[in-house]
Amino acid sequence: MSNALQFTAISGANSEDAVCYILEIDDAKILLDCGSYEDYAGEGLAQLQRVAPQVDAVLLSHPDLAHVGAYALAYSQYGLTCAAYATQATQMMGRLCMLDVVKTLAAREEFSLFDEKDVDAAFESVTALQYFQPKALPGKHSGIVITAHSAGHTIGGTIWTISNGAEVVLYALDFNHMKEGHLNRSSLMEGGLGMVNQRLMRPTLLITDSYNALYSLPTRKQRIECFLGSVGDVIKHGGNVLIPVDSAARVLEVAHILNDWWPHDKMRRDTHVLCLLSGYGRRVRSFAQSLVGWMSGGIESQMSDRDAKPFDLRYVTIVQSLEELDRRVRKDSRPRGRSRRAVVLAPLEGMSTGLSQELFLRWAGDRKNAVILPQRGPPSSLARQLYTRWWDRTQTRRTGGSNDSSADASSVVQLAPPVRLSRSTISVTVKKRVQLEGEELDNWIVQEKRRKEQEAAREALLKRKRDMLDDDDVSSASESDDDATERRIGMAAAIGDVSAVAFSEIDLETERLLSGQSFDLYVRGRGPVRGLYLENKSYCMFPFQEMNRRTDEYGEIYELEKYMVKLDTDDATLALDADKPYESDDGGKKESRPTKAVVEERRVQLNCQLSFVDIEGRADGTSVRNILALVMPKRLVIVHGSSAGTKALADYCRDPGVQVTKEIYTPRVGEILNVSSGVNVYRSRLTDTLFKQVRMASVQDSMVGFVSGRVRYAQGDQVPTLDRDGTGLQSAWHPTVLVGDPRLSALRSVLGKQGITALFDSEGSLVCNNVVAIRRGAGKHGGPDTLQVLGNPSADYYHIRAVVYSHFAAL
Amino acid sequence: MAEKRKAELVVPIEDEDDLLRITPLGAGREVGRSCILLQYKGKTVMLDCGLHAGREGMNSLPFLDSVDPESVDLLLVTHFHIDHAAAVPYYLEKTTFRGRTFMTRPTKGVFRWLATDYIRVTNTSNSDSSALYTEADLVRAHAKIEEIDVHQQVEVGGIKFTAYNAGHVLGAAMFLIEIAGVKVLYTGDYSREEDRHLIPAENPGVPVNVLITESTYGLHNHEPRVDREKALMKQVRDIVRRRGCCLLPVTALGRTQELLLILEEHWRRHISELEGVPVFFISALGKTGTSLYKQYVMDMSQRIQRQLSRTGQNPFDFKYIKTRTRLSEVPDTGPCVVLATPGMLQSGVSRQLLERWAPRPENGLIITGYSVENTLARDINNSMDDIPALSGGKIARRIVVSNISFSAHVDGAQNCAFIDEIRAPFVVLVHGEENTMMRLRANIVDKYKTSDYEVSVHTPRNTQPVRLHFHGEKIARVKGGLACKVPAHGDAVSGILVEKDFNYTLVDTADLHEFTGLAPVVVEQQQQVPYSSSFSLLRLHLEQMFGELALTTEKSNSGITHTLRVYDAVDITHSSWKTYVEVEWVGDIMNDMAADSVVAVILNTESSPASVKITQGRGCSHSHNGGDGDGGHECDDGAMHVDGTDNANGAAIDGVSGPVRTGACAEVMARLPLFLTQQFSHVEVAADGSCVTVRHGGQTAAVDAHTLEVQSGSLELKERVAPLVAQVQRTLRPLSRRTTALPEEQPAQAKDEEAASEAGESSDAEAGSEPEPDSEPEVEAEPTPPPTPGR
Repeated sequence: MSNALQFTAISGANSEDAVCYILEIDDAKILLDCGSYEDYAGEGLAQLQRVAPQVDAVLLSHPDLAHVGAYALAYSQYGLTCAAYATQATQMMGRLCMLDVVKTLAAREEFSLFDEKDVDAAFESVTALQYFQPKALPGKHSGIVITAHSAGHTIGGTIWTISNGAEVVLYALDFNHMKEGHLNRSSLMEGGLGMVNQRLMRPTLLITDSYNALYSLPTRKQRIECFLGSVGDVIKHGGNVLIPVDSAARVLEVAHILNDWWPHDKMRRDTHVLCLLSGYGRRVRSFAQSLVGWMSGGIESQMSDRDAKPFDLRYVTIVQSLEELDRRVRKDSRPRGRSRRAVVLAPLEGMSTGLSQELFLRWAGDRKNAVILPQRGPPSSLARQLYTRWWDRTQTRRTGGSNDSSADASSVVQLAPPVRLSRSTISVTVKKRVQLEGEELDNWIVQEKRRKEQEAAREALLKRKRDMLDDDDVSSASESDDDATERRIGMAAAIGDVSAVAFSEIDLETERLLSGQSFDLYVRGRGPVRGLYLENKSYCMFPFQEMNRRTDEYGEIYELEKYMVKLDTDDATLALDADKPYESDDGGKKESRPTKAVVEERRVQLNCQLSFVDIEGRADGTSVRNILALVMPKRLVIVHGSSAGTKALADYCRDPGVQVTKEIYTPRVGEILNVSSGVNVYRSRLTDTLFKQVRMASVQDSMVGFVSGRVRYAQGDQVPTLDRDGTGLQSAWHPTVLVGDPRLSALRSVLGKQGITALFDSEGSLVCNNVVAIRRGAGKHGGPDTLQVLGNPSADYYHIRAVVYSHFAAL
Repeated sequence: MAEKRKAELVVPIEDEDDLLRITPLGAGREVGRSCILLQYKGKTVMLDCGLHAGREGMNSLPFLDSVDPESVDLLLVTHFHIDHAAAVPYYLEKTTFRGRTFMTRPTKGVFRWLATDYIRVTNTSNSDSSALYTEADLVRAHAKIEEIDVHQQVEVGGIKFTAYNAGHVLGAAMFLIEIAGVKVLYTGDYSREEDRHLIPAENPGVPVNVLITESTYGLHNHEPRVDREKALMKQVRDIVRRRGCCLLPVTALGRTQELLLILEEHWRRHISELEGVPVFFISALGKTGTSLYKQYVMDMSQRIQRQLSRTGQNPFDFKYIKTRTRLSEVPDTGPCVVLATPGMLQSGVSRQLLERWAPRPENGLIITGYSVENTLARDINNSMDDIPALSGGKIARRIVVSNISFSAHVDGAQNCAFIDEIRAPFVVLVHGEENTMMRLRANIVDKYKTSDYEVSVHTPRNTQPVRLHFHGEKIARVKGGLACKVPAHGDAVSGILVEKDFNYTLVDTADLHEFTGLAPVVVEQQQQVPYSSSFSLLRLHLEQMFGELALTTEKSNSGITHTLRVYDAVDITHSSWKTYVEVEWVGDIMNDMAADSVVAVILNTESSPASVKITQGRGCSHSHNGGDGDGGHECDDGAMHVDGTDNANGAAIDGVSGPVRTGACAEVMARLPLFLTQQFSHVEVAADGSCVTVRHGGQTAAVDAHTLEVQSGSLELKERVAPLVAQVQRTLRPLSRRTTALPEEQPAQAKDEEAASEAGESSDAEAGSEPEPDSEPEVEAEPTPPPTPGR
């Protein structure tokens, strides 16, 4: 009756790597997130490749690299073809994030793991969910129900509950308990003031992160002030500001904060431009606007003006390349001719590659400029290195005087104005593509020409074959070119023998001759072929191929039209005219010159100012600890945090004074944990005759009663029915159980209503009428709550006892 | 067992608790002011709260006064149309309604502006300012409305509901409401046809008990959408070709956006031909509407979403359609297409344009919406030769008028198909004119007369409830220790049943906290009873009363502490240096009683002259006044006494054990009639006392005096009498036996009867001491009352 439950970390356990875990419920394998940072290296991917084909469902929780980074890769290359689930916002923004990464990488290195098409295909196969939409997995795992709840942190960010029978798994990574500029707090915290959502309480297993375990933060207000203050200072001194952000998740919050603040000062609008430098910036904005429903209520209500667009980011200029940024800065220059400066948000957040890195290389040398990190960045990224330096500088400076407190101070991030790491350098790995020159270029041209010829030949052959197969003209006049191409592909897929996969060399040669690309037919002797020896010696002397019209056994001509795979599923009248060629976000021109990827190490002089202000939007260590205590999981798995952080959080939870749970796991990557709770459960019917005998008492918001009956099975029914005991002794005596709210404060008000003066004394006991004391016992370990009533035998005593009893439901 | 099941079927279904009431407060055999009330198990849900477009002021409200607004838990609004949502601000602000209100996100967003517009229009048209609410009311009410997403499951105090796409207009939802296992699907207005931007109505895919569906079109069937679209485009093109102006009167929000999409697409496809023919959309709300629609793209069909995610281009960014707020912004030259509000040509821009264009035969008017009676849009169809001008006078009508309906309601065939798909045993028709509704009903009844789908169709009038009975099956989840193994047939199961929001969980007491979050509480009690005599005296008295007691002794620096334990529940601690005795026990009905008697004994010990005498007579050396005598003596004394009493007790048991058994039976027989007469009117005791006969409802049951077995011709009566007899037996059983012997008894309930009849034979040594105390309190204390006869 109980379920088997296993947890295995593929990546991101006892480290801050991207996250990816496998949860096995009975025989269903659920992949929890599928992340990888932009380097696409590491143990995790190999592991993922191994398990991907067996996975039954994928849950994606946040639209950033750490959570969806490897999803497109796994989908296109590793055979991860199962159903994937994400919220609508995660799906859309996750796709943008991946598109941006692919584009960034492809433009800078030999990146061939997957391309934009794979990303589109992968994310189009994701089943989009709403928050609180219970979804049963398909097929034989229909007993497993997943539900998304909001996590804060990112738009569409999700904490998942996965339930199956008695097991309820709460997968809560990177949640934020605070409301932010554009996002609501996590629904984990929607249980009222400082309370946890009732629906999410007491899971049998909680999987959470310790990313921030060693880390506590000043208030959000202070941090935002510090952030804006830092930006403002640099602006005042006429410098550029670089803020590395992620592609489609946290960038919204940072942009929102800056956008709100920007118009407050007219001066800065004259001297600076606020830019989002991203190849997909326009789409990020346009998607965000259509996802306003996933943001906090405040955003929508800003629409007091009827025609204003919510979340329009009107002060954020979107630029798509460094060249465009230069143009912007120059074009809008003031009459005096001095060009403006820029505050630029640029992906990727790690700065290990991408536009943020390019800008960093450009600006790091100038004393006026500043780099302000809103996130710590992935481990071992450039951003993280900068953060570490900043940390060493600022935090040691502060605690320099008193070494004793340094141990404690290490856990609190102090807000600090930007610092200058004078005369220090940092080594940066720069990846970029350079154009081919000289011999390489010639080689490339030759190869390219050959490739093109072959392609054309293949194309022509395909066309001719089709024409011969099918007399009817394929393309009717009304069809646009696009349609025709699609049909061709469709046809290629449909016709078995023209499957566009295997043409013999000779066919291609023939075709080249026929299509006038070559003027001679070089006939290579074909090696001995098994079969008739005549064929052995036969040479194709004249380019002729006999092509029979294909007919079925009754001589009916196959009408290919009938069997063609229709690519566009929309019905004909609904069909859009083929999607308008998308006015691409990429600055237009396509590179025609051949390039190659090179990697170089550079030492960069760090003259600019450096600052870090946490706008990561995660609950900090203190809050996480408090929340865990409120959630009261039965088992706890801690992942995604440095070993030290993981250990610290685990130690905290183990502390008997905290009582989170005793079963805490801190797995290493690859370690298989058996985390089933072994809770048994079955369903049983209750008959009305039985039910009518039960005296139900109301406790808190439930009704409780003691039931005793006898089980019977109706014919052909698997579900047991609990009926009243026909033998006449159904109401057997049983020890009385009191159920209710054991808090003394609640009791106090009840006593007060009965005219009994009840006061708390210094030891926390409730003294009633000065004669009876009521104490809250600790309860034997794991046992029920205990109230102790002490006094002398007196009328008061019995009265008070009666009131205490009546406060609870006696079963 | 077979008889048993039969008996179950006889359970009267007229239980108030099982009654589901569906009462239309509006839209019962009418179109407009939808408002349907759903009541079940003490929960009340209101579905929609609209106004009647054809009436004014209070008259346009549904019959809201037939329900106490305070009793309504929940108000669900399906879509933003006036006849479904416009009374919501009134209900929220002007009545005592305090429940929660839900709309889908787009509905809430659009409703805000549509209602503003509505207030503006009614305020200008009604000079007597009979407006039901003001803009301020609307703003306040709007803030209270909660948003939900489609497919999101929400639970409010035991009412579970989920919204499903309904087609019709942006954000339109069907609601599936589940109360205590009974599922009701309310369609609102819905459409099953896929159009350019909406997701057609979905089948929730779960068994539904009651389907409340609209019947606007009754059995009437639409032309296929494709044909209608073609016809519309042909009309438009013809008009433009003959260099005429084309007028489409439309509403500001809703189906209009679909028309805009159609036109936009048509223009894009045929731009070469239509180059230079402008399309205008003139509406005060036009821009707002478009920006709202842009914002809710995520709530529209896959097609629209794909368009956005593939191209990054919002489909509602129109390239060929220009949105204007005033007529004056539109140039008046050459052929053009104008969509203008209002939709029924009552006044405003569309009317102005009509008057301007009516005299010329090359112009065209295409009516696409549903036209209410007494509006020009309805009348102009009836081949009027001239139309009344707003400024008075008449204008010759030569403009070509055509009607192509684009209102997205299901037609007859689709509605029947949906009913067939859902297969709900009860169907309630609303939102339709009486005649069309009755025809639809007759059709459905006829269609399934011979099939295996048993359906009953209801067409209630306003305020006339449909009463349906649902005998909700109660399924409990048995969890934890209780569920270690699935029980076999005939196994006894007992535990704590917890009901929360109609969900039942059955757990063992020990697991209660873990699975339900409810805390079992133990009330420990401690009383300090003044006592300053020696321990041995105390012990003597207690043992005389309670038999042999377990003793633990502890020595400390201050003196010796003795603890006696009564009935394995009450601890009496006597410390040699204290002037009081501590009595400790865990609060419980049984233990409290035991403790009370212990306290009584202790209080008596010192004062009772008898005790003084006894101890003196025994030659005991301890002082009766002194606080601490010497410990050594006491111990010896104590041992001596124990022996004595023990022997006495043992003798008593041996001697009485035989008579006790028959005595117990006799006792039961003596009291049985007393108990039975309280339940049954006719109770007779046989002259020889061998049996008691109960007569009830023509049936008799006899209780044998020796075996206490019940015999009766009627199973039902037997089932009522037998527990009573058992109860009496238990009530009269000696207290000591109950507290100790019961744990063994519980698993073997079946044999309890035999065990009870052998009451005296128990193995416990403590039995026999004072069986008589407290039989009265025990009756009160019995945790489960005798089954109340269900008359």
